[in-house]
Amino acid sequence: MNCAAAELQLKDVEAETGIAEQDFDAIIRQHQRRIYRILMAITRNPDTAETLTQECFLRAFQKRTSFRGESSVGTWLVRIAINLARDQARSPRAGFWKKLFSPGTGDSARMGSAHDGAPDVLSEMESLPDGRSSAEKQFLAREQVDLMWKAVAKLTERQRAIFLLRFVEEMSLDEIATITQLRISSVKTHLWRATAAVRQQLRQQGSAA
Amino acid sequence: MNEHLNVHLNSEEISQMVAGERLWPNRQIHLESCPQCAAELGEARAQLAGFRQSVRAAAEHPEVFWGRQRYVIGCRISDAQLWRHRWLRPVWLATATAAAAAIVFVFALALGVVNVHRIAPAITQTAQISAQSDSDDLLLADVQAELQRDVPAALEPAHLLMERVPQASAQRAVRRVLKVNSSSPTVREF
Repeated sequence: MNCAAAELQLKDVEAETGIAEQDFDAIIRQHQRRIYRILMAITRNPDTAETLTQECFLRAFQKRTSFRGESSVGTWLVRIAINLARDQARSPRAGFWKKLFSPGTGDSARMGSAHDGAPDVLSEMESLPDGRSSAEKQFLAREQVDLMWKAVAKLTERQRAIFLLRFVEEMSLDEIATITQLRISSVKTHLWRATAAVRQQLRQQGSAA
Repeated sequence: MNEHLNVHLNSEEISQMVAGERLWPNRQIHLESCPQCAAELGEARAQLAGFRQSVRAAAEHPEVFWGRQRYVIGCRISDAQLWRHRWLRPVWLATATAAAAAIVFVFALALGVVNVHRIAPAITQTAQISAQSDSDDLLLADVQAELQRDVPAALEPAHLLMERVPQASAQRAVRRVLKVNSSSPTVREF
């Protein structure tokens, strides 16, 4: 009897879940950087990332009452953002702009401008046990990042999303499975294939260079 | 078993390790004891770390950027709410429809879509209506006059007949008297 009552109470709490309107500003403040970063990584375009970030929070606000709390708010927002990026990539207009600014011409340079001042990249590369000079290491690090961007751009839509969520956002496989609505085993497979494809691309591009 | 311990990790195994999966125990032992494989794995991880840092650096912006973004999101949310609330109210819907119709009419007039000549018949019609109202007044006056008459118009012949019938009977009586007294000299003299 007590168990049944507790179960009913739990169901009531679940039914009442949703995001209050007054909490939304705090939610935007807390998650906007991450959402923008993910969209930036997927779209590789700052303007598109900004527009989609706005759209993501607008959609979330409109659907706030249907949020059941089965996952965290952050995970829920990332799922909305990933879906928006997917829809945007499939639109004919996006295809036109993608062809116009194909990878390796404009957008790698766009992203590359930001990693010029990334000290952690260089420190990671400097930790490699070799005798190369600091300037040479910096150049190699930039080259590696550019090559990595080109390799990631060649992944499929789903593999790229999973790869970025895992290695850029450092999300757990459980979280990625919730966001992509796949089983963990499928997420692992996609991730492994994406990693292998990126490494193969890096080897090919490295040997070609 | 020992053979597996001496073989270096292949690309797939390195990818597996990078992706966070575990190797077979004997391959794990090899990795721990082989500087070459450890270096290869370290390089792959460093590449990923460099990539992560590049993405994060590309997405870095000053606080002004984030504040502006919050402001824009807030405006879009407010607009969406206002739109929803306005269009859910029938009063607003009616007002908006009337205003839209008025605007369309004004624009149509300005653009000459609605011709003045088309409006002229409407003016004539208005004049006809006013003329009709005048004739209505006349009719009312006629009715009033009809009511004030002693005898209704339809019964006028009967009234005349009623007036003449006594006269005719009187004349007949006089003629009868005259006939009767024509023989007497008094009457003749008369």
